[in-house]
Amino acid sequence: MAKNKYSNYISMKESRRIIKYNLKQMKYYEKLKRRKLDQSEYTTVMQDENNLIEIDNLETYFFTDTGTVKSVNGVSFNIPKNKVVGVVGESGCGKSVTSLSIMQLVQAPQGQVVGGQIRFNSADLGYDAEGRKIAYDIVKTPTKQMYNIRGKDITMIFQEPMTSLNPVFTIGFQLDEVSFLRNPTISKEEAKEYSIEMLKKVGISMPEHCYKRYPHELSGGMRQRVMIAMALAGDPKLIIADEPTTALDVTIQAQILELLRELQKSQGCSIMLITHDLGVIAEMADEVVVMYAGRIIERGTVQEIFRNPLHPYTVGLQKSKPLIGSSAKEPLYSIPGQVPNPINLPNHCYFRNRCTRCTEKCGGEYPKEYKVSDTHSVACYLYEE
Amino acid sequence: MEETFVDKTEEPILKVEHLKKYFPIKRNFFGKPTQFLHAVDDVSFEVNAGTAIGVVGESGCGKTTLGRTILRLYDVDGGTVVFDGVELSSLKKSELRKYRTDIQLIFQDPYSSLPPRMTVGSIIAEAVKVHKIVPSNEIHDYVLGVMKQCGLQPQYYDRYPHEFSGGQRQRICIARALAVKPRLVICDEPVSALDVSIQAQIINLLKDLQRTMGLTYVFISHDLSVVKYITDQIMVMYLGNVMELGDTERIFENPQHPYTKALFSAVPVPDPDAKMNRIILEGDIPSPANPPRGCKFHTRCSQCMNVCRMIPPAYLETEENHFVACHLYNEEIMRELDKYDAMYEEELRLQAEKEAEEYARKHRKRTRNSGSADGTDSSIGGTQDGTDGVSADGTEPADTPAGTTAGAEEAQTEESQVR
Repeated sequence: MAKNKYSNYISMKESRRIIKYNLKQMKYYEKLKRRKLDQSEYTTVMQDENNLIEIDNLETYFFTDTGTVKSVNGVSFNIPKNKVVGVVGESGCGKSVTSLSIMQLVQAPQGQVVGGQIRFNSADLGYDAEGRKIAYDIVKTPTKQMYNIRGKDITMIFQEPMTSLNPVFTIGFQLDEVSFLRNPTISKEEAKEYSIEMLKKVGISMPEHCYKRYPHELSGGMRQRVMIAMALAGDPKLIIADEPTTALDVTIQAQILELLRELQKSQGCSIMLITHDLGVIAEMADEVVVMYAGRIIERGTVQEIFRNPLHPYTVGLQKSKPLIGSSAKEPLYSIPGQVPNPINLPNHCYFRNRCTRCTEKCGGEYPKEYKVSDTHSVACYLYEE
Repeated sequence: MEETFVDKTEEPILKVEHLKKYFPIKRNFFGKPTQFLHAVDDVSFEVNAGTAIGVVGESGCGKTTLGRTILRLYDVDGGTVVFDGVELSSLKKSELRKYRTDIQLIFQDPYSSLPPRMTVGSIIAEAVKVHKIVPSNEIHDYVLGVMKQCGLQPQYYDRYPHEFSGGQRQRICIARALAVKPRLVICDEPVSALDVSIQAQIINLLKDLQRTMGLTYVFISHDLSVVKYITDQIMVMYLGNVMELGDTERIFENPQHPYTKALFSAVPVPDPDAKMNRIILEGDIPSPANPPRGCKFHTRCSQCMNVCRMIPPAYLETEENHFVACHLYNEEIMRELDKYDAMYEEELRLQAEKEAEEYARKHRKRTRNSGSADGTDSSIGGTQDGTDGVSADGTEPADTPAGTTAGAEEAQTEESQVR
């Protein structure tokens, strides 16, 4: 009974083997992190100077007791300057882990970036002898160097503002911390002034009053505004917004999206917007990346993704979203089945079992990304030409 | 089951009238509550058998409390809940037990609402055993039948909840609720914790079950687009009050209340070329412990008038089966707007006077302390002289002459007029 093909129990022997393997792996990667590096070893050159971030074949694995979870499995995409890049996908598809990898915040030691490159185009690095822009390779950058990047050049807005603000410090104290990070030489008064200016910028009506409050005294929308103020205070080049409006009501969501859009234009920074809501993506993003089970299955500009979706998953996702304007008479389209177990994924298209347009070829290797146009590419055998 | 189809056109299966639920938030020295949070405030609606009503609103508007109060999980503070001709709100606990199988609840979060130490089979069978729905030797087959209906494979019978994904767990929750053959199911945000592709599966399942079993739903959700697929009627709530109630199609075609309009326009449309003429509501939802006077929505309303600040709007039937609580649709009030404007100004003036008096009372003590007749000279000088007098004289006379206080009062009224 216990050994039928549906059960996912593992034997004691198997479990012991996994744990032993995990310990070895984790030790190896932790050791890699701790060694001392010269600056030349953790910097590379950008392929395109207009990109802020280039993610190249990123692999982030989690070594769990039931097996290795390949959360991000060979993801590559670019974030251009002054653009909003939207990352869509269902829960567990690796979109949050991608963003945490950029910040070097993956839960260690069980979560490790095992391969690939994240090139960050930083202003304080010059050009090399051949005139190419030098960039940080965030995967290799030591933690000490990351302190200069995190919260200053790259900042993050989290999903749940209550859990990401410290409940025992005032809003003002927490904002001042970021102000000092931006410019350590300023005095306390100047920091306060700057913090209040930031609060004003995100549309808080009584910034002086809010400055003295504790997080629990504010409403959800206000808290998210404070989070955005904190993200902006460091004058970032990239804001990673990890489901910034999921925990908020629709009316507040509309306010926050409006604010983010305005700020992106006035500050001139890039935003990596992670969400599962196609509506939010359509409204905010310039470029869209669709992820499924740790891999990118389709990417392109907003127009391409919404006007001409190619991958059967993208098509199904758009059809299954209930719309206000559509007719409610016919039943809603739904993608059959469910997301595959992330442990020991097979080497064929992960969407094969749920796909309605599956062919014989899909049983073979995982499909490569096929380019349909300059900006639009899709990982599906249907578009192999 | 046949009866439910019979009274489909006649008596509504659930009738809620003026339902109120207040939570005490402050108590005095003797433990008597002195301040209340008005979670559900005067809500009335009817649901016919075999149909579904959607309850929509932002967080904190009392939708969940409404669902739980109907089930008597909370005691009713006012109004009645009539289920199939029986008034649930006044029944004793032991009498209520008979009706527990008729009304069931599906919770929002399938991760926390399933007991982790019970197998799927025993979770579904538990209530069946307690209420003796089927003879004990048939329970196993009955449970398998229910599971099949909800799209769960028979080999899941001996599994534990942690082995399932969110969508499957929600199916288990639905199976558990349906196993006792309910007639009314209260769905408390059943799909908001699920992914889009799974959401569609669950919505279709709920719709199929309604058709085959003749179920009645009270569908609580904050997502307007989801509600549209399931419900026949929609009720929009805000701060414990009903703002708009009507047939789903009518409300979607012709939303009337400014709040409903704003809610509709706030939903992001998955179309990059969609025109953006969105009504963005200013500010946050006020605290339900201290709701605004008059219309509760007036603090965020773009079409707010002076009447809205004074008088709570009554329910008006603007179309057939379409009720709106807004002064904009009340012709009587709209005709006499000037009168209400004048009333409001009068009220403002009275309030200002009251405030001034209060201010005067606070400062009278100080003026009295001065004990000099200088106070009558000028309004500001009165108080200033008073303080000067204290510092200069040091000692004050214990009794103040009546004339001085009168003079001070005069000064204060003068001052208030200046202000």
